[in-house]
Amino acid sequence: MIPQQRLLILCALLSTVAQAQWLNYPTPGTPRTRDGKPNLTAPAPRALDGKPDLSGVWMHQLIPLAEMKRLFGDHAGDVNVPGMEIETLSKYAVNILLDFKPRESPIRPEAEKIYRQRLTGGDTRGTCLPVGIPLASLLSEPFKIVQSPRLTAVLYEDTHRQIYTDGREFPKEFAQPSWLGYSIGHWDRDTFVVESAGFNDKTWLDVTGHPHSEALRMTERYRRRDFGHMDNEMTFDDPQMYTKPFSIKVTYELQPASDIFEYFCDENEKDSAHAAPK
Amino acid sequence: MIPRLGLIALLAFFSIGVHAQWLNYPTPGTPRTRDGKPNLTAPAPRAANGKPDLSGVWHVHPASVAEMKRLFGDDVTVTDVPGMEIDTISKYALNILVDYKADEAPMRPETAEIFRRHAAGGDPLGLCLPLGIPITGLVSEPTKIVQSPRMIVILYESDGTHRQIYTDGRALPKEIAQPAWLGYSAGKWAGETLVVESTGFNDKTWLDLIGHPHSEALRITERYHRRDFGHLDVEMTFDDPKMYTKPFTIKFTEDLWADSDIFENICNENEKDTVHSVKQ
Repeated sequence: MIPQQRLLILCALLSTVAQAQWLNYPTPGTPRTRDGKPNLTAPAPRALDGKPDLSGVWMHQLIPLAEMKRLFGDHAGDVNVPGMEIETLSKYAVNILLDFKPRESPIRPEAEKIYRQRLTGGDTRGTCLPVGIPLASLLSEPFKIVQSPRLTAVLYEDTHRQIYTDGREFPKEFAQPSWLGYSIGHWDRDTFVVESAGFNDKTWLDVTGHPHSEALRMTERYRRRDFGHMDNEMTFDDPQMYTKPFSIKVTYELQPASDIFEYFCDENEKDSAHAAPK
Repeated sequence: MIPRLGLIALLAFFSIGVHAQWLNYPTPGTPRTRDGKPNLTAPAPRAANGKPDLSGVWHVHPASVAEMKRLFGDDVTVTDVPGMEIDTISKYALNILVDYKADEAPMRPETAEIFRRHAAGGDPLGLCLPLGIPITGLVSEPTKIVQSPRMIVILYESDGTHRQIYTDGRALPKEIAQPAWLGYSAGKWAGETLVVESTGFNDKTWLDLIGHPHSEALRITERYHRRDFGHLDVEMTFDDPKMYTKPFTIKFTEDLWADSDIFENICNENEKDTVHSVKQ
């Protein structure tokens, strides 16, 4: 169970209240039903090179508050930051090992120790650092995929990620681990397979603090089932922290009339910094 | 003339000593000369829809040290931050009105007052906030253009931001309910030139490092023309009737950084170090 205070703080930290100018703009190229609404079960679109086109604004499928309470306890519903209610998070954002019974969790004792420290000790990192992968796509904000022939860019509200699709392989060694790692993608028929490595060990796999090392390798399998739905199976392989690879499956829903908005944590930070000394 | 200490502080803020490990990766699709080097004067590539493809890693063609000294005085070279030497940035990053004689600048009197206040000290840049347009593309770090059929994205290394340019036919919003750091941009092709119109900026960014201001009324028109594989000509016109008596235009060329890349730059990571070192 997650300490209540802890969850409140985590959520407050990630809160954004953003309204993009172009929300509700009817995006060209969206198939529509007779009444003009986006047809989310129409076939997935294709790019000019014949591959499925994953471009669009995506948000993980929400689950009901009752389900979150069942999973994380009644106090999970107590978050009062507008736009950051617990039911706007993916359940895996709260606990990436949720699918495991405690005794069957693949977490190594040393990783468990780090996790416990984080649960009780709080977040001593700077408050405006990147949340990293996979968290960036499991929180309350949508993300945007822009697919171009040799590069797929993933835009989060405060950062971006490059996925190379030009046939390159991983560098032989990662001299400089980075926050978002290094990602290469290829198509396995209609599934976009993204492999990532070269992460630093500063990000957490979930908001409660499951750690990973620099040895983390991640494989994502994206499949745009239809116009409005995309499945992603993410596998985490970090032998230093976990005894075996583990996977989560997330479904993203297209936000056909929506967009991401710019969000700069330091803008809020600046306000708090100014407010504090007075 | 720019106060020397102010300039050093500004440049120091932007310093990043990073080298991505996949720099020098031979990018597929790059035309090459016989000796394997990128052929930067080969024809500009085309996207699958027949439009010129602007995708690539670009950096503003910097001025020479001699030119910068002539424009800004000898002191301008005094910076010892590796990678941030004065000849790695555009002259327009230092002064967006550099093409004007002092008494011919189209600044309104009230604007000149704000400018003097900015230049004298109130540097907002140390707070890890976005540099905004156009500065973020005029400093030492490269930018990356990702062109897809309905959207062109510009990824900036200098402050880690990204900018969306809609090319799906939409018009700019008539009213701006929420001004944004990077504004709202819509682009269309005029022959071989991408014309980008932008509006909806907040008034928190500066037009250059020394503090020329703009208001929320700012409109920017950019014209991008990829002359050949290795060169992108850019013309930017700034129209802000509240701050300037007439629109003004800057022209510069961006060089392709073939086989190179942008790197992630997390300002707050650097900032954290600063905070720690101050406390000690």
